[in-house]
Amino acid sequence: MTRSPRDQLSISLGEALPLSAARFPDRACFLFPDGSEHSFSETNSRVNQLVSALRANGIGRGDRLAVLALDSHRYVEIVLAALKLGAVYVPLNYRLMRPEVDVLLERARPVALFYDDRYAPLLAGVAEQHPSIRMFLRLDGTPSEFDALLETGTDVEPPVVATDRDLIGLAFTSGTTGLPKGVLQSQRMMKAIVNAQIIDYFAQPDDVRYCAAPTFHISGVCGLLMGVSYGFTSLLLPQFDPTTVLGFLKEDRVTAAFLVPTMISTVLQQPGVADHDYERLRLIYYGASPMSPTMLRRAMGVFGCDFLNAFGAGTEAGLQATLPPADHRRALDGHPDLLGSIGKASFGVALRLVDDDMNDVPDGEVGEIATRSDQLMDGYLDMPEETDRAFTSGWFRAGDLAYRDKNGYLYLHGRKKDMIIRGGENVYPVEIESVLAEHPAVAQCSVIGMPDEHWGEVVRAFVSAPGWTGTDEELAAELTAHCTSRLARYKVPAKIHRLDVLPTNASGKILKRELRRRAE
Amino acid sequence: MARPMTRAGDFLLLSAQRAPDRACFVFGDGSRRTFAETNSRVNRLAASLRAAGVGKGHRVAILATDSGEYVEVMIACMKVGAIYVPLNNRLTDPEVLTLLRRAAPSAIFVSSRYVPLAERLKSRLDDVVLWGSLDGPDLARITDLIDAGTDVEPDVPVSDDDVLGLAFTSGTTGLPKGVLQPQRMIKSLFTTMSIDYEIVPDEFRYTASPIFHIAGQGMLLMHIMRSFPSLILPQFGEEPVLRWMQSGELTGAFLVPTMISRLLDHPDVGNGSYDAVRSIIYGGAPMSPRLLRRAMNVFGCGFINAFGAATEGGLQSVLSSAEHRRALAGEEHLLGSIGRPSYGVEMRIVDAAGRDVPRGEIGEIATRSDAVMSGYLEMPEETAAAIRDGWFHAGDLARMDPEGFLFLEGRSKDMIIRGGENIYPVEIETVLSRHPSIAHVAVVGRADPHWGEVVVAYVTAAPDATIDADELRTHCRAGLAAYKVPSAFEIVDAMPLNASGKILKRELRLQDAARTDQAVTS
Repeated sequence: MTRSPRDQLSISLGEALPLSAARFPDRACFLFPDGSEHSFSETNSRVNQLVSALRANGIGRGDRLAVLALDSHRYVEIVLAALKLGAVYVPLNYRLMRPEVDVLLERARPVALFYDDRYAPLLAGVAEQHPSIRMFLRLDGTPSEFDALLETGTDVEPPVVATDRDLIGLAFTSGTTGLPKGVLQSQRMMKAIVNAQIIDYFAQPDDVRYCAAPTFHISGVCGLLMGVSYGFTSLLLPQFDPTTVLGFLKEDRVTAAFLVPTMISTVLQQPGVADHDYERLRLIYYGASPMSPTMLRRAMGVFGCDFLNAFGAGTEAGLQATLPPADHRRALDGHPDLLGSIGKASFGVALRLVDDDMNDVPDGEVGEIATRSDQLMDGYLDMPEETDRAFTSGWFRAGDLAYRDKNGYLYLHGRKKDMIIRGGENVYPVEIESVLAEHPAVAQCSVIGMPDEHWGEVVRAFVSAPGWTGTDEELAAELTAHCTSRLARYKVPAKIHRLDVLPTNASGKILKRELRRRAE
Repeated sequence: MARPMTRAGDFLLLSAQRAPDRACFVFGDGSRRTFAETNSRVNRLAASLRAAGVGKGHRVAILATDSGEYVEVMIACMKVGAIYVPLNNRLTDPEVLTLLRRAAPSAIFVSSRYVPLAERLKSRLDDVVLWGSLDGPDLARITDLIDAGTDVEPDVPVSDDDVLGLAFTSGTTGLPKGVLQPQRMIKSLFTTMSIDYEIVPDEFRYTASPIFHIAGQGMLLMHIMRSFPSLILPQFGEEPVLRWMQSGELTGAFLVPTMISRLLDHPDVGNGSYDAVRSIIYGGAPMSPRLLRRAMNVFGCGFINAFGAATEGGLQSVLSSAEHRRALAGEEHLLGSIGRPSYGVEMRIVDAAGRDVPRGEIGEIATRSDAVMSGYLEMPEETAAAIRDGWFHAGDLARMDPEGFLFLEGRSKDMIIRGGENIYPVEIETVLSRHPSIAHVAVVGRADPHWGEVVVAYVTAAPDATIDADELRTHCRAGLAAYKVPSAFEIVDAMPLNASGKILKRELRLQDAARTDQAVTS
C-alpha cells in the first residue's frame, strides 16, 4: 500500500508519540506504582528500538503481534511500535483458558506472542502448536527477554509508513452468545476514539490519569493512547489494586480516573478513604454498569469531583454515549432515575434506536442502538455475513437494546440476541431478571427463550438459590407467584429451573448459550 | 460496504438531538434560535437547494455580512455535499466578478447590502440557477426557500476527501488563489480548535472574525459542534461587544489585538464585571506586553494566541493560557511568540532546500496535519509550490527557541537575497521603526546588476520630524550587520495599503521598479 501525497500530509496515530516527545521530552508519559517514571522521550526511544529490532527480525507491516500479559509499559510499547510499523496487535484476555487461547491464536495467526511469566504454564507448547509464531518472548522479569530484544534495536525515528487505513488491532469479542468474533480495528478508528475521548473526558494539559480498564480491552488501550496523544501522564499498574490507587489519590497525584462501579465501591471501603480532600481529583468516569444513587452520593461526598458514565460497544464501535457531570448532579438533586441512564450520544456519534427494518422507533419504545461515527471497526475477521449484518444501510448495530425518554435520555434494555418472541410479543429478559433478582432467595438468575410449537418461543428462567431450604418445585412456585404479581402474564416464565450455580465466562457474564444447551 | 463515517454536516443534527432547545444563535437584540430550529431550517433549505438543481459538487457563493442565515447556508451545503464559496465582502465589483468566474457557482446568496452588486453581475454570470438573499425582499428570499422545503435529513454520502469549501486567499503577494478545503480538513480544524482553544462544555462565545474568513467559520462551526450558543452580530462594534462581555452570559470571544485595544479604551470598560468570561482568543498579530497586561487586569480571563495559514493549512501553533501566565510572571519574551505547534501538527523550520535550519535560525514554517487543503483550484504549479514532499509551506518565516516557542520573522516572498546572503526585511524594519523620526517603514528588495538585489527602505516621517538618510544609516549600522543596512532610503508621504490595513509590499516593489526605470531613462 503506497502512501499518496494526501497520506504524506496526514499525521498517523503512530506519530502522536514522537510529536509529544518533541513537545514535552521530559514530561512523564508513564508513572509507576513505585513512583518512578518513563518520560515521553524515553518512551519514544524504547518504541523506536523495538520497531528496529522487530524489523531486523523480519516483522513489519500487517504482521500480527499477540500479547497475553498484565498491564505494563512494555505492553503499551508493543502497541506504539505496531502503530509505527503498520503491524497489528492482538490483545488476549488474560482470564481465558488454554483451549480458548488456542482458538484465537488459530484465527489470528500471529508471528509473535509476548507474555508475562505467570502465563507461561498456560502457554506451554504454544509455539509448536501454532507454527505461525516465530517470536515467543517474555515481557516481565529482570532481565526481561523483551528488554533484551530492545537492546538489539537502534533509537532512530523510523520513516512514516502507516496510514489511517492500516489495521492496528485485532481484538476478539467475549462472545457470550456465539463464537468469539475477531474485530478489525483500523488506525483511523483508534485516532477517532482518542480525539473523541479528549473532548468527552475533558483532557487538560496537567492531567495525571489512571485507567483501570486492562490494556487488553479497548477502553484500557485507548485511555493510554489518549495520554500519549494529548501529552498527559498515565499511571500504569499491572492490575487494579485499591490500596495503590487510593495511595496515589491521597498523595494528590491523580487528576482523573476511569473505574468500574465495583472498583469505586472497593476503594470507598478502604480504611481512611474519607480522611482526605482530594483537591487535585477532578473527574471519575466509569462504565460497564450503573452507579446507585447511594454510592454516587457517598463517592461525591468523599471525592468531591465530577462523575461521568461512559457507554459504548467499545471493541467494535468506540464510545457511543455519555452521561455527563451536570446530569450526575441533577440525579442527586431530585432525579435519581437518571443514574440508570447511559445519557446521550457522545461527540461525533450519530445514534438511532431502530426496529428490524431499520426504522426509528418512537420515544419510549425499545429499539436497537445503531450508530454511525468515525469510531467504527472495519468489520469481523473472515466473517462477511456477520459483518454485513452488523452494518446495515451504513449504520452499525451491536445488538444493544434501549429506549429513549421524552428528554432524550437513553436507557439500556438488554441484548437483542437475548430477546424472546412469544406469540408475536417481544419479551426482554432483563425485565424478568430484575424482578427475579428482587426476591431474597435468588442469588443468580438468567432468562432465556426456548423453541415452542405453539408460541414460537416460551420463557424459561434459571436461578441459583443457595439459601433456599425447600424443594426445587416449591422454589419455582414461589418465584412464579412473585413474577405474576409484578409482570404481565406473557412475561412470566413458563418454567423455572434451579441450578447450584449458573455457568459464566471468563469475564463473569452468565452464558445463556450454555443454559440453552442444558435446557434442551 | 460503505463505511459509516461522521460528516461535517452531521454536527448540527447531533447537537440538535443532544440539546434541541438550547440556543444555537443568540442575536444582538437578545433573540435566539435553538439547535432544533436551526437544524430544521437547514434541512428545509437543503431541500430547496436540491429542488433548484444545486446538489453534490455544485458551488454556492456567499457575499454577505455575518448572520445566522450565513451559517445555515454553509451547513446546508455540507449536508448535500455542495461546496460553499465565502467571498470577502469588502471587494470591488471587478474583484468579485473575477472570483465568481473562477468559482462558477450554481447559486449565489447575498445580504441586502450587496443586492445592487448582484443585480449588476447577473447578466455576466450565465450558469447561476439561484440568486438568493439572506435578508431583505429582493432576489429569492432565504425565508421562502426554507418555508418551501421539508425537514428531512438529506443523508447524502460525503467522504473525507470530498471538497466542502472553496476559499480565496487575500493575495497580498499575488492573485487570489482558490483553496480547496476537503471534509477531512474541516473536521480536523474544528476538532483541534476545540482542543487547543481550551473549550469547556456549556460555553457561550463570540467571534469577531467575519464568517467569510476561516477563523470566523471555524470558530462558529466548532461552537455548533460542541453544542453551545454563538453570539452573532453583523460586524464587530465596541459598544455591543462590551455590553455582552459585561452581561454575565458570554464566556469568551475571539478578537484581534486592535479590537481589544478599542474595547479597553471604551469609557464604559470599567463599569461592569467580567466574571463569566473564561478566555479571549486572539490572532493575526502578537499582543504588546502592555496591552496584554491591561487586558488581563481588566478582563481577568485566560488569553490564547492562535496562529496559522488557516485557509490552506488550518491551525498551526498556539500560545496557551498557561504560557501567557508564564509570560506575565517574568518571561515577557513569550508574548512575542506565536506559541508551539498545535495538536495533531508536525512542524519543521526549513531552508530553501527543505532541510531543517539549526535551532534559533530563521527558516520557513513547514507543517503536516489532517487540516491541510487539497490544493489550489486549477493551479497545479502553485499547489506544487505550497505542498512539497508531503509538507505544507505557506511562506511564513519563523525561528524556534530552545523550548520550541516560535517567533514570526516575515514572509518568504519578502526575503531579499543580496550577494548570496538571505536578508529578512522584518529585522531591518524592527531596527528602523525605533528611530524617532520614522512613523512607518517597509523594506523591499530592488534588482541590482552587481548584487542581484539590494535593500531599499521606504519610510514615512513621524509628525514634525525630518528624515536624514545618513542618520538612519548610522542608526542601522549600530544594530545590524553591514550587509543588512539599506542601500537607499525612499521617503514617501504614505504607504500603499490593502483593505485590512497591511502594507502592500508587492505594490511597493512595483512602484520601486518603475521609479528605478525612470531614474535610468531620465
